[in-house]
Amino acid sequence: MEKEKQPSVEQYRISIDDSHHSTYQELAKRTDRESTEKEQDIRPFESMKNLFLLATFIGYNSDKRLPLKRGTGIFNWRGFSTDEVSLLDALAVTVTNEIEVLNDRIRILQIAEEYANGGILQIEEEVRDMPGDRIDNLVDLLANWIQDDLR
Amino acid sequence: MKINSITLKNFRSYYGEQTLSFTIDEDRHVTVIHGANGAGKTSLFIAFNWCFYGTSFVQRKFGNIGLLENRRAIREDNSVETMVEIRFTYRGTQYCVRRSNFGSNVTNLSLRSNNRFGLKREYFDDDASERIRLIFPESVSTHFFFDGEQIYNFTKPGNEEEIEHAVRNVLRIEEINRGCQHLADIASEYRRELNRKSTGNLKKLRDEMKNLESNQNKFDKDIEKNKAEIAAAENLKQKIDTRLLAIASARKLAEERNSIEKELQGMNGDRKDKLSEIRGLANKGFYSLAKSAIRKSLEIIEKNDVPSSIPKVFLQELLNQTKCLCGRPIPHESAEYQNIVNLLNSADATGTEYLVGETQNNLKRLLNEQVKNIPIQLQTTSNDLQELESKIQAKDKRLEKIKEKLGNFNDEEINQLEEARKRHESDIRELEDKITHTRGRIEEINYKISQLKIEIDKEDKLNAETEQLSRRHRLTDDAANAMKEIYEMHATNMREQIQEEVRPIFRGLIKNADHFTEITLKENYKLLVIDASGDDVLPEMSAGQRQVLSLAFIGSLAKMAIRNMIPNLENEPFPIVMDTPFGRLSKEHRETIADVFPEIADQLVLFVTDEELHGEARTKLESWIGAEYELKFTREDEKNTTTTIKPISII
Repeated sequence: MEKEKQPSVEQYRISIDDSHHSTYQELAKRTDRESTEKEQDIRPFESMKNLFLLATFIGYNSDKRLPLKRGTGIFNWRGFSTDEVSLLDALAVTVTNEIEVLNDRIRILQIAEEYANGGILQIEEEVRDMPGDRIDNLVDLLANWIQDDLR
Repeated sequence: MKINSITLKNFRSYYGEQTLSFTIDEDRHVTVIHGANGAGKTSLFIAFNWCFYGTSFVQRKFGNIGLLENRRAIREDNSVETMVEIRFTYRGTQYCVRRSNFGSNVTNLSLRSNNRFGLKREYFDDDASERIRLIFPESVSTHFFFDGEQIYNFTKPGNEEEIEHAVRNVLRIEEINRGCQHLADIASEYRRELNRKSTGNLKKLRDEMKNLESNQNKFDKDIEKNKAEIAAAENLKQKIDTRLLAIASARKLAEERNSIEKELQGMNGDRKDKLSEIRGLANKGFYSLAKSAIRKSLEIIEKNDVPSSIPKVFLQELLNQTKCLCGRPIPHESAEYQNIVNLLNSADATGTEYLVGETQNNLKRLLNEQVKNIPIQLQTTSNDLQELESKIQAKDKRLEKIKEKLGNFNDEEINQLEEARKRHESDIRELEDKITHTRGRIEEINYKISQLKIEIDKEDKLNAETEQLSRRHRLTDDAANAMKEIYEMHATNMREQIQEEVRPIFRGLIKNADHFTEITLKENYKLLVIDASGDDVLPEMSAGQRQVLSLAFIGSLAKMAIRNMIPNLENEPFPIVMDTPFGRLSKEHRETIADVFPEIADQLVLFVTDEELHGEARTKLESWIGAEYELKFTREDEKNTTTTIKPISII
């Protein structure tokens, strides 16, 4: 059997599970045109990247790490800012308990993908499917996670 | 084409080598060959066909004809040569076609040509056969070489197939038909391939897309319409406000309301800004959620005791300053300086050490900045928003109060104006809700359209091949249909031309011509002979009358064939060779045909029995005859006869 070709680091695209692709499309702002007011209400995330990062750390904090069954690439990892990359580095170091992982960019990104795959479920439940304004839902979700910092 | 001569050598009943020259005279162009039954007329007739087209053609046309070789010659020499040679002139060139057998089944064919400029060529076997077919195609030859039985059957009722075959072959419409069929076959092959490959989804998806786009347009128009209605309602509201301001008793309340409404407009704008700020902060909420991961990773990094990048910076700084922390100088050439350089070079600036250092610094900074600040900012902005919303609420309450006061004012005009204002406000809200709802629908449609585009793109790629097939199929189908139209037009045209040709010939040949008013060749190639009362009388026609009709038909076909075969040489002469054509004719018809038929063909070769051609008929033909022969036969034994060609007269 032909061995699956590993993509180069530069070309690596962040993948999400196919089953959640529609959630990303539904909750994140479209990048191909100006968004309307109504659209902002129904799409609380400014980008798929922001949604992915929130899902990643919700997944981490709730200890939900789910491997992808069938991945769909949604953006190139170079779309992350330096600070965002550092967050993913921290996550990889924490879960592997080794600093050498910092030399393996693809592994770092794959760890994040798996946590995002676990965290997206809570976002679907509490932001997408909960009745009411989706921004309010998002703020409520955050508030629950960071309530200690809010006091 | 005119046939100059035929030479037979040991062919069937013709022993040895014998030559028969045909008349090529323009006026006396009839060659008559007399022969009793069994004298060798049919053998001579077969010799024409064999020489041009070979044994298998002859077998198809005449059935089993037995031995081609002359039995007497075989007895004398087992490897006897059997040969037929025909000399003819075609488009000014002299041709000599020669087919021979040497004791076995090996047949040799040659075609020699000598054109009017003296250019000689010679072709053999397949090459020769190919060229003969170009000059005189097999299918067409059938209608220049006729035997009595064929003539009799030609117009027999129910023999439409024979007529259709003859017309199609002679007039070359069969070739067009074959072309049509070939294209139709290709089109059908493409169709099958398309059915196999096409999923049919593309059309469904495109229809869906069309539907969505049409709905999108409709909703856009709805929004425009609603906006116009809002503007109209706002205008009316404005007029009411102007009027209320003009009424002294209502002025104060109206002014206060206007001022609150303006304030509210600004506050709502601020609210929108705060909401947008909250949205932005919520989008960065992941920084705060990453806090525990950052802390743990920093612990791990520190536990691993990896030197941070600070020592490297520190070392570089020592080198730059060329002095130690204690203030002691480190000169360029000193051993200490070199030690520091070595230390710096041993560190991998892009390796783990560097990465860890960078990460560690970033994470520490993030903990103090985003991770810490975002919740605070979120909290502050939320508080601001809450405060703003309370103010808005209070203003809204005051507005309601004013409305109530104006509505219950002790003045009918003010009450009515306020009532109308309320209606307009309610209309505006309703319209705004409608617009919001419609925008939501448009959003859904846009999302569906974007999804559909992806699916169509995928399907398009899948269907790239199908598309190409579809284009090919369409083109082939169009070509097949166009060719079919041409075929139909050509066939109709040909049938009409044949009708036109047959009519005068038939009327010239038939005895009681006035009895038959019309000859029609129907679309199904059914031949109708209409009498004065308008009935088709072909089934009742006598064998003789039918033979006359056949001869008229054959004559017409021959004329048409020449026109079709050599369109630029319509005047090229062609021979008609007929074996016992008068067999079934009455005395009167024989006489008429002998008188008129020679005019139809440019060269006529008639094989006749003595019974067929005598008396008045013979006299009528006399002036056309340019050559006349008799086939004499001698019976050697019970099985074998030998034919000798005896010239009677040659002009």
